[in-house]
Amino acid sequence: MANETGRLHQLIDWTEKRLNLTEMVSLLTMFGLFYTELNTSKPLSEAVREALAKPLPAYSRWPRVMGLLVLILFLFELGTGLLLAFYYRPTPQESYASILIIARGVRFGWFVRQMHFWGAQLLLVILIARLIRFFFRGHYRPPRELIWITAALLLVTATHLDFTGRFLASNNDFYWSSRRAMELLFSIPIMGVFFSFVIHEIEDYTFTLSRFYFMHILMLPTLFWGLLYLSFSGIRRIGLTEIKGEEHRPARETFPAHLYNLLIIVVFIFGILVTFSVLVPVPFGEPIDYLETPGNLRIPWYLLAPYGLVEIFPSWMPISGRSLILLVVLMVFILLPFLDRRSNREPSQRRRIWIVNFVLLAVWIFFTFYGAFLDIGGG
Amino acid sequence: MIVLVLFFSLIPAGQCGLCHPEERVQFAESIHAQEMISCTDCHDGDPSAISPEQAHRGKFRSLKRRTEIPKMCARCHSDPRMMRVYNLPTDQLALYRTSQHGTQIDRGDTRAAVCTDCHGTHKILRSTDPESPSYIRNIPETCGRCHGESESVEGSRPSSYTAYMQGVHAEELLKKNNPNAPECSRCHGIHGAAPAGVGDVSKICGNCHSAALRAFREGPHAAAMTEAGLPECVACHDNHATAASDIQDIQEICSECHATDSAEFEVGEKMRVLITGAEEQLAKAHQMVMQASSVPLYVEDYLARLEEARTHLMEAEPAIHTISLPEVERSAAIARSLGEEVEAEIEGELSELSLRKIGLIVFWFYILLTIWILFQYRQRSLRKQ
Repeated sequence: MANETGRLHQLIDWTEKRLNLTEMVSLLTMFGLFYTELNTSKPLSEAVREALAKPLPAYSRWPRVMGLLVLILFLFELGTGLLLAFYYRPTPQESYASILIIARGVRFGWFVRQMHFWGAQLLLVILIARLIRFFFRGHYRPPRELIWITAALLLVTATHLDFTGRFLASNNDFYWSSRRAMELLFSIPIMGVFFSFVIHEIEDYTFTLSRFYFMHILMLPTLFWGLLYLSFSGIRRIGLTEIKGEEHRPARETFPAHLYNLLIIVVFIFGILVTFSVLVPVPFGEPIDYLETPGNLRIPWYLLAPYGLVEIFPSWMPISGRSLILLVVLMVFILLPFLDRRSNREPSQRRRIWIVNFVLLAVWIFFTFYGAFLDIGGG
Repeated sequence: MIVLVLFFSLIPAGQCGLCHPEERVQFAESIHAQEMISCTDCHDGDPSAISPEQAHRGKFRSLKRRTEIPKMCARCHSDPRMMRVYNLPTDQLALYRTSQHGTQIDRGDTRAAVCTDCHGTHKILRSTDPESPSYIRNIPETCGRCHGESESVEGSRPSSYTAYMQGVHAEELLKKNNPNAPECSRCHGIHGAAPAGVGDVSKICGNCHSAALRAFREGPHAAAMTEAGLPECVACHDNHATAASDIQDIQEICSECHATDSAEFEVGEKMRVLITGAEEQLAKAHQMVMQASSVPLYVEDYLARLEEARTHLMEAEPAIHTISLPEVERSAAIARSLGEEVEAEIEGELSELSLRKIGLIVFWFYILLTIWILFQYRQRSLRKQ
């Protein structure tokens, strides 16, 4: 045993003389796995030992690991997505058939497909939960403005990833619900023009599919990766959020304990994903019928609130006018740190702010339900 | 003036259009105008004359007498040398003479249809032109102009047109755009149009419904109906208001001739049970296949077998006409047993899927075990400090 560890050390030493291992590991730690930087001037084992010995702040635990969960789920999506890409064919003639092959012909293909779908939904849920937490805690106030903006943009990117993914699934319901959601996007003034340039009209499905495929597997994941890096970089600079009173508690846990905590959460989430994949399978649906809109369509769940907001206005109001409101809401959401500059440290104000926050959350939930139960006829 | 004369002499209507502008416009749209046929080819007279008296000199024919028209058209349309280039038949006049229309005209009954009644006078279009009165979808209406409600030539009988429009053939042709569904001429003939004789009905229907005809001739009804002078198919299905008999209505149909406690009536009821049973079985199996396809399972095989079962069921339907229980049973039973087979196999595959759920329980046991082990490690690492 001792001999073997000796050999491992020998191997590390041998490599260390030829490559800067500390720098490489340090690169990995950029993504939130370590709470502290590695000293890249020292050999790996020493630098790691040094970093591991530093105690973690007592508050580095749930719910402050949501960013880390986003990273883990994103890696999980990359993995399953890579497997799906082996068999998926991004052409209108073959896409639906290739998905049938993935789900029924390839061993465990159905499982990978289901996990990819449910992983994406969970990723969205965690991103939304993270934003709600930031919002309620006021974590968009200085100096956390950029962390809020990256968190908001991460959500926007993730919805686009999900959206393009649904389109790639090439079944009738997903196709038409994407189409409806796109109509919503295009109607937004200024931004809609940009969207319609990127996505363009989907009349010519061949080009749309290949473009969406490119966006789904390369453009958007790269963007997501970049935003994650920014987010973690901000957190490493500013530190984790702390609740009043916690900051004085003595540091208790060291890195291994923290790692075990994380592993427990990851295993639990994996269990939930598997359960969903087995019990609530995503159906294939029918192949796309370009000529007939199916009745009773629902757009993806995270777009129901904006959809409900647009639809609640009377129909004589032009769609661009209605979606202007949507644009304002979106801009306020992303640029919130620069709009709300009050401090919430005073106890008298804090109560009032909590009430406002709850009302806003209730409005969002109301519009989600309104959008979900709107009667959408076929046509 | 010279320009005008030149202009009018360029079109085949010559100068006739100066006095007959309406006819000129109609004629200009016709297939005859396209083929450079002129007014004088039918009417004779002098097309270059400027006054009506001069134009209508000599052999001019107004063609106002309806009896003249068939012979007039036949001058060209019965000439094989002229029609050869258009690949048109030349037997129209001969057929027409045998038709009810032709014989009535020969007897001097001018109410009977002549060529122009169905094809138009000046604006004669190809029968493939959707505007033409002889276009397949327009035929019922064209015949209905005389055989319809407003101007019935059939006395007190309900008009054939109204009845036809209520039937399954009209629904197929006009609503579902099924070009195989018959309009009037498919049963009565085109130029040789005549009502079908009592003994000929099954032959006419059998042109399309050949399986039903074969079955009908094998069964006891064919001889019995001939003996009783009943019009075969029409006795149950009606002639113009042709109804696709629903097997569910078989009691009502049989009871028209057979007493409800007779053995014959019972045979009908048994056939209904056989067919309905097979139909229900196939519907149930189809639903299960759809359920399995969303799981997802390979269902193409099952779908093909259900299609085969449906073909057998379709064979059972004409077999009803034999009134032979074993005949119907043979096809219906195959259809039903195929449906049952598919259902049983799908059920088996679906129950295998419940194994996945058992697997899930085992999986969660391991997940919780892993979490417990990780938790122990965590505690140990905390104690080490």
